[in-house]
Amino acid sequence: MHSSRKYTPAILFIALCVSITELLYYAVVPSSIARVELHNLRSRSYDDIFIGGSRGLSAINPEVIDQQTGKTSTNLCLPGEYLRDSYYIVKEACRTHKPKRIVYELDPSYWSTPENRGVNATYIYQNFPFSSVKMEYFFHKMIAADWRDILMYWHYYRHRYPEIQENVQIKNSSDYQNYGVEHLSTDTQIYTKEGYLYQKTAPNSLPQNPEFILWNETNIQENQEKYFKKLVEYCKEEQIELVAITTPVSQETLDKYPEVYESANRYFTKLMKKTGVKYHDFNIGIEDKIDRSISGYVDYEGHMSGDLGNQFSVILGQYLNHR
Amino acid sequence: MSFISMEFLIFVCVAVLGYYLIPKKCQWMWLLAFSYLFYMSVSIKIVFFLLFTTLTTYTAGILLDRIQSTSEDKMVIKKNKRRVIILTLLLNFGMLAFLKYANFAIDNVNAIFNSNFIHRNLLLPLGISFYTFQSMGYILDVYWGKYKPERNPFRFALFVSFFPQLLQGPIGRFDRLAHQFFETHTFDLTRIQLGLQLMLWGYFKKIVIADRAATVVNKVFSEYTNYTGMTVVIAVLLYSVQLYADFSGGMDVVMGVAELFGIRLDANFKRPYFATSITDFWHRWHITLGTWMKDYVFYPLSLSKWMNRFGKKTKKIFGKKTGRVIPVALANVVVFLIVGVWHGAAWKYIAYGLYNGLIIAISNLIAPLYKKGFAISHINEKSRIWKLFQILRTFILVNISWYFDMAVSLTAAFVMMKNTVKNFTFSTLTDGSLLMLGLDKKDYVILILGCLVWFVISFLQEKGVSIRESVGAKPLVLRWGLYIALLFSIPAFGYVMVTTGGFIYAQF
Repeated sequence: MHSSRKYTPAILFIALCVSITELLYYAVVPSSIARVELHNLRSRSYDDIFIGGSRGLSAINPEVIDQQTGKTSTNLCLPGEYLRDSYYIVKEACRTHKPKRIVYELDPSYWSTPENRGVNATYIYQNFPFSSVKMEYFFHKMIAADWRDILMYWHYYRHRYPEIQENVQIKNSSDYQNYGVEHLSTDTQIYTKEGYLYQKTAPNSLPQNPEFILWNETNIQENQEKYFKKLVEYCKEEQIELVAITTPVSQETLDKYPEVYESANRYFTKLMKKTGVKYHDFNIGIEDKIDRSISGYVDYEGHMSGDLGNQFSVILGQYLNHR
Repeated sequence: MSFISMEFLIFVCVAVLGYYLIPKKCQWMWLLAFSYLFYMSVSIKIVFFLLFTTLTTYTAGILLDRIQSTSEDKMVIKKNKRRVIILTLLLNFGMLAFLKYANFAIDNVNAIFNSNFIHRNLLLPLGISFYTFQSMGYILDVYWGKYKPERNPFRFALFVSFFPQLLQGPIGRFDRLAHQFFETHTFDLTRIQLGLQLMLWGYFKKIVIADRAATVVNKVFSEYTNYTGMTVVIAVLLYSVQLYADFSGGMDVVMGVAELFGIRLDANFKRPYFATSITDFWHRWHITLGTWMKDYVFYPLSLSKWMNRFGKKTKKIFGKKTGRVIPVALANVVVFLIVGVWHGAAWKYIAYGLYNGLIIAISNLIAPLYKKGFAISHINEKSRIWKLFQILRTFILVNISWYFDMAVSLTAAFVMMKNTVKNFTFSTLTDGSLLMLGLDKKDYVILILGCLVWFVISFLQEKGVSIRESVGAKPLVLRWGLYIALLFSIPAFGYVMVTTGGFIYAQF
């Protein structure tokens, strides 16, 4: 047999497996805000970019901030976004349009908890467009992941088979194909074009499950420190201003764990001073500016409801404008 | 570098591609380079220990050969060879014992003498138990003149460090591996396919079955005081599934990867839960450790002068038949004590070894009684029912041993055994208690179906069917259907662990 014909079945088999994988990906993997945000980075240019975790996602409304600063900004904070992810998001942003300023939403608890495994660690990478940055991201983070996370990412959504029809409809919609955000909204949350999550709270409902992972200086994660330094260096090299902020938690949370938040403030103030990064902890000195009672939050961890997020964004915009 | 990581798959792909692209005479050097790269990816520091074992064993092999040819006095030769072998064994087993058991010894000394020795912060190189045993097997074979030593240090280094088997075995033999390493291999698509199939089957067992079962096992064994009765039984049964799926799954991945390079490693499992006795179980479970123990501990001990004298004494006291069995039984107890210690530095592992050794020793001793019993009761030893009874009996005995293996301590093992008979009720199976252990109904269904598929395959293999060959002979559509079903069942039904799901035996 001719040698190329000998390998034809094997090549066809691999092609069949790739096709099935792509089909399953299309059918079960839902759309996410990360896809829209990473697309925005390629198609628009921004003065300010916000990076960070889920608290930043629900506290920073770029449209409100832009009204204060007169600049253009986008929120690239994502649930489970650790500094390693943020670093590559910033690099991806710089690949097409270099921003003037990076605002890092610093959630202290991310510094003392190990990086996520599973879907939260994977979906940001999976939404990256193919580029040298993605390759770098892969070799520095994703290479150590379970092979299923890379080759068959759909496995995290295998329980969503009943939603295949709805998912396919969404993916065929013009909103999805044009990188809109309408299809991402539900009864309880609305995404804005620039990556702000407006979370609705039911009237008079108080957040349940007040337990969450707190900042702990003895558990500082090596990777957070390492990628923070890398981010600082990168911003210096690219002449981008780097600012760090901590969004305020509810007064109830602050009253319950005052020493935790004070210790975090001390640690990060020192670290930022050492690295020359401007830092503002909004847990301090914001009492008279917004109502910090728990009713404005969706949980005790510090995720704001939509209205409070908008109020905070005005304050953050003013802060950034006056800097 | 975990076997289930993308890193490992890329590493294997690059290694295989290069292996068949470079000049064939360089293939073994390529494997050596990749084996050291693999080990260095774990930690550079631990390479020192691998090099130590490699160099001391290699040098000892050369010295043994030189001693043989430099003197004509047999007594001198014997004396000098013995010095070399004792020194090599002491150095290597000494290092293994020190790294693995020093803190255990400190704990016990502190407990007995109320002293206050501090734990040593010792580095335990991954795979040290495996490569030490493999190297010591080699040097003992050279000492006994079974084969000539390897004269090329780099070739010998490959034998010690071949990366697929480095972390969790199987414990290889030089005479079966060396020629495979050093002969040339041409790219063979069929062999690559067979290797990949074996890897996939290993991943299925690990990811679909073992990791899922581990959730219940870890919960019940770590919070053992909270559980009694049927819940403990389920946890122990699931541990028997988890351990077998994890270890044999890991072995399938190892053997599959080795097959990609054209190298066939010794099998480590032969359907152990079909065993009809504990002796039979150890002929089917972790076979390469069992045969190592048989060749390098059991026989030398049984045939030693000391044991010979002891045998003569026992024959005098207990009569010919029983007296002959006692030394064998004693050797078995010693062997399994070592097996227990090999598993880890804790009293529970010593109990685990002792338990197995005593069962084998006792069954050796009471074998004549069994024969008499058969004659009186007219039980047909070859009947299916009797075989089924033996399998069930062995399975229960093995499951009792898992209490020692998995419990957090020896005390915990006994507490769990006691708790097993407390509040025992079958309603636990249906009252929702099992759903409080970290798995939902779907998980249990997948687990049961996964085990069922595995059981059917094992049953067919036990009947002599070669699964891979018989699937290979099926029409293309059916064959591809089966391969795709196996491949996609792993992401579709695989379990996602909260913590890193490493292989159990990759910690030795």
